[in-house]
Parts: sequence; structure tokens; C-alpha cells
Amino acid sequence: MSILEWPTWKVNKMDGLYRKRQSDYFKQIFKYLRYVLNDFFVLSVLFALGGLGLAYSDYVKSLSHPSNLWYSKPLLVLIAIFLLQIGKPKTLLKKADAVFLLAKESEMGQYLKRSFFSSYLSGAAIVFVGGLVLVPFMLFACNVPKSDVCLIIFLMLTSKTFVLLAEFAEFYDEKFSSLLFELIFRVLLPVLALLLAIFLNAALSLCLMLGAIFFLIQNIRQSAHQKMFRWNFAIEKETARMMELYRFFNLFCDVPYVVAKAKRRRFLDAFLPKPNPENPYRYLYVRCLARSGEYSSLLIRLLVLGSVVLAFLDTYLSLLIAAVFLYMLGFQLIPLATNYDEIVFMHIYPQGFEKKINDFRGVLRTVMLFAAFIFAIFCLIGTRQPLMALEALAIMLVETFFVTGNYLEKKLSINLTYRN
Amino acid sequence: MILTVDGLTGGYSAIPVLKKLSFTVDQGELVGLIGLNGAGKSTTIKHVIGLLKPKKGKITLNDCSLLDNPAKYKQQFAYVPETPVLYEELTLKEHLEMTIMAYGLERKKAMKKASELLKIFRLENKLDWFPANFSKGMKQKVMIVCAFMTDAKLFIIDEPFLGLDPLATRDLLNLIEKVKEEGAGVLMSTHVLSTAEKYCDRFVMIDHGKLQASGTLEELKQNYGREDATLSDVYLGMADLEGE
Repeated sequence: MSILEWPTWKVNKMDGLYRKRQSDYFKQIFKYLRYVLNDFFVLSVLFALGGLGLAYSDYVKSLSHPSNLWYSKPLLVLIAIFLLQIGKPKTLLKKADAVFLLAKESEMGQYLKRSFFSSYLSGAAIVFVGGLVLVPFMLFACNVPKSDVCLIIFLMLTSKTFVLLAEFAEFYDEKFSSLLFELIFRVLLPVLALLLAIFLNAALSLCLMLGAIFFLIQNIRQSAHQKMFRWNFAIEKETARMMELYRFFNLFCDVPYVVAKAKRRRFLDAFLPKPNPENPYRYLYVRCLARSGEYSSLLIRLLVLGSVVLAFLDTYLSLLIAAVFLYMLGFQLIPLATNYDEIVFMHIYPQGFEKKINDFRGVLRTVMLFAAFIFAIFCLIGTRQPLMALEALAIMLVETFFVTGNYLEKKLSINLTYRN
Repeated sequence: MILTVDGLTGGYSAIPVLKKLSFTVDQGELVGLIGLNGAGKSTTIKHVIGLLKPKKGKITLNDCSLLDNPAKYKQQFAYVPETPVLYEELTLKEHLEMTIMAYGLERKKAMKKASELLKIFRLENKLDWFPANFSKGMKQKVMIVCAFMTDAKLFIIDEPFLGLDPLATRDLLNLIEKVKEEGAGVLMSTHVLSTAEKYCDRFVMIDHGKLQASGTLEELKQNYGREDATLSDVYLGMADLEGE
């Protein structure tokens, strides 16, 4: 089959299977999205976006014409490469497929084609929106001529095709899974294409990228004919992708599939609470926080990210960012309260439900206060104004009180009814 | 009587799984809760431990009911689930600490009891490890240790023999013997009738959520009308009769 017969329009069984799975997948996503959009989270994201947008616009306005910043072009490439990595292959394969679809191995090509288009749509949308947001940066910080802006966005979209194709190539050819190939196809080649476009000739770069795509497609076709589909690899990748999604949704409601992997971290043992009959659940929750792969990394991530951002801000934006990051930290930790509810003993222990909630509230309050102090310190570092740091601290203290009080009650009652 | 189940009717939804079930467990006796898959054994147990609320009927533990005084009720029993249930992030020692805290046990005494039990089940040098990473049999042993280190009056054990090696099975039966001597009662659900026959003092047979028969092995045999029947014969006979 030649490239001109691609995409095929005849609807065959495997193609139809993907469509059906996709329709179920969207239904499931929308079901969870309801809980996401109903939450204060949306408001905080809007605030964050608003703040960042304001900062960006201020930055662009402050640039001199023409600007000769040494870092703008490399930064553009960096951001573009980052955008290209978002949006992984969405194969919607399930664990049972290794058994039930094995017989359909020769027809997996059709299935994967549809999967490619679907994955490309979502990935390209992100690249496109990112590209639009970058236009002012391109024009004023990087001095890209107006005629080239369109070409560069187009180049980003075709690079996305290229990167996604390389990821799909992995399903047949293990070579593409090696670190070397990943670096070359997902990072190096797009970087070269972008550098060529920005510094020399955008049109030439685009043509070269299209050529590269052509060769890659031919290579994939060959692999698909000669090699076996890597079932376990593909299923594992898809399972991991779904897990990330579920972990995100788990912040808003109970998702049954999320299972944690714990790390021992002996060095923390000295700091953990000793057994105390008055607070049995506190003993449990703090240990979970310290050792669970999920919650501990979440805590560290937000603390580090928030602190770094605050260290560079010197306007009132600092207060907003501190408040938003603290909120995100608090609300992402709330699922910890119900983390063990599947364990029957949580319902059998003589110390009841109220004790559990109160212990959790105490733990959350301690963590949030700790984070608030850290953020206040970094706010001081960034703004160099003690008054502002104190204001930030005051806001965050009020916020902690609210999140561990009414907000926590509301979220937990939603979890209960959802489970019933 | 330690445990009195009286006219228990209940289930998971509007349709009751259990219908007017009544039985007792006295101190010092091991009662086998017998039934085929789907008979209602787990449902019965879930009602006794308080996970389900009865639609009709009453359950009392030493004259205390779950509705009247949940804390006191839950204080009096220990539960060994069919499938091991463990905290991912806690070490073995911390599981013991949780049990001590949750049941308000006296720490030194409980830890001493626990270490004896750990020795029996050969877990004493694994205190610092995550039970979540143990093999299935070892996980079950952890469950048994956590339950038997309490001073509960009633031990509820759900299908203990599946998954335990013969050595551990023998050790568990010895433990049950010991707590019986100390005055506790044990309710054990199983469908491994050959083992139940040898060790249980009394049996409660349920099928389709209803009580089929209860009593000692002799009483059941008399009811069935054959002196040389095994428990298995008696049960299957009863199940067949029910079907006619």
C-alpha cells in the first residue's frame, strides 16, 4: 500500500473497535470531569492563568524594540520541545487484549492508524494553543519576522506528527524505545528543525521535516510487516497513561483503580510520630505521607515549584501565587483522608469515623502551615519586602483554616455519597 | 453466650440475602459457619462485624449491640479476613502498633504476646519490612497475629484454611484451642468440611441465607438419620433435600 491510500476510509472491524473504545473513554472522562469542574480547583486555575497571563503581557511590553536578548531563541526552542512531548499515544489497549486480540495481530495496523489520528488531534491542539501563546514572544523577544511566524507554528505541528510517529514506531520496533533513539527522534531532530527555522530558513526546515516524516512512515510500515506487535509494551504504556489520568481525577473523587507503591525511607523514621492511643490515625496518615510514592512526591513537587517561582517574583503577584500553590497543595492532599477506606479495619476499629477525620485535619493543618512558612520565606526572598511576606503569611493562614475546615468537610461528604 | 444472632434478615440491597438467621457462639467454643459459595457466610460475618446493618433482627456481643454502643461492641471482637488486608506504607511493627492503638491495648503486654505469635509463625525478624510485599501466606499470618494479639472475647475468622500451608494451619488451630481455653469464642466460616468436622465444637449450616441446621456433629448426624455419616454427607444431603 502506498502513502496515498493513507488514511483509509473503509470502516473495518478493528477501526470500529477503536471508535467504540474511544466513545466509552470519552464517556468515562466526562463522568470524572463533572467532579473536576465542580470544584474550587477551576477557580484557582483561572486565577493562576490570569496572574501568569498578566505577568507575560507585562514582560512583552517591557521589551525593547528590537530586543537583543541572548536567551530568547533558545528559550523558544526549549518551550516548543516541551510542548511537543505532551500528548502521548492513546491506544486504549486493555490488559485483556494480550489474550483476546492476539489473533487480530495482522489487523492491528488499522487499529493503530485510528489511534494515531485521535492521539494527534489532542496533541496537536496543545501544540497549536501553545504556539499561539508564544506568538508575542516570537515576534518581540525573538525577532522572528512576521512571515515566518505561521511557518514556525506549522513546523511545530508537523514536528508533533514526527514525534508521535516515533512513539508509535516503538510498538513494533524496540530500537525506538532505546534512550538514544528517544533522544534523537523526540528531542534532537525537532530541536535541529526549530533552530534551522529560527536562525536560517523556516520554509526549508518545514520541507525537511515533511521529508523526515515520509521516511519514518515508510520505516514503520516495513516494521509492521516484518515484526511482531509488542503487546506487553503497548499495554503497559497505555496502563501507565491511564494511571496518570486517574491520579488526576482521584484528586476530586474516588477512583477505584489508583494503587500506590510505597518506599521505606528509613531516614525519616526519627521524625515520624510515635504511637499515641489518642491519635491512632495520625500515626497512619503521616507515615503514608512520608512513604507513599504518590503523596510524598506531590508534596515535594509543589513545595519546590512554589518556592522557585516565588523566589523570582517581586510584585503583588507573589501573594496570589503563594495562595494558589498552598491551595493546590492542600486540596491534592485531601484524598489521603480516604486513602485507606477500602481497608476493612478502618471500619472495624473501636475508634470511629470522627476520630479519623479529626486526626486527618490535624495532619493537613500541620503540613499546610509548614508549607505556608516556606512559601512566606521565599516570598520574602523574591520581593525583599518583609511586609509583603507577612501579608502572604496572613492570607495563607486564613486559607489553611478554611481548607482544613469547611472545605475539607464538603469534599469528604462528597466522597462518602459517591461511594454509596 | 458471647455472640447472639437473633432473626437476622439483611443484605446488600433491598432484597435480603439472609432470612431470619439465628445462632449463638458461647465462650470456649469453636463454631463452624458452614455453607456453599453464595450461601451467605460472608454476609453473615459482615453483619456481625458491623459493616452491614440488619434490616430485621438483632446481634449482640456480650449483651452489647452495635447500635447501642458501637465503640464497646467493636472492642470485643477481632477479625481475620479471608483475603489479607494490609497498609501499603506501614511496616510489620507498625501494623502491630496500629492494632495496639486502635484497641487500646496495654503496650508491653500486647507486644510480648505479639512477639510470641511472630515467633510461632516465623515472622519475628521481619518487623521492619512492609507486609504489603510479603507472600500471600505470610500476609495471612500477619492478619492472624494482629487478631490474636488482642484480648477479644470473640474471634471471627473467614475461610482461614485456603492459602495457609499445613504447618501454619496447625499453628492456627493450636492458637484457637488456646483462646478457647482462656474463655473466648471463635466463629469460623469455611467450606473445607473435613477440617471443620475435626475441630469445631458446633456447626451452623446455612444455605440460601437460611439456617439449615445447627448443633454438634452428633446432633446433626441424628437429625440426618445416619450414624456413620461425615459432615460432608450431612451437608450435601441437606442441600439436596432443600432442592427437592
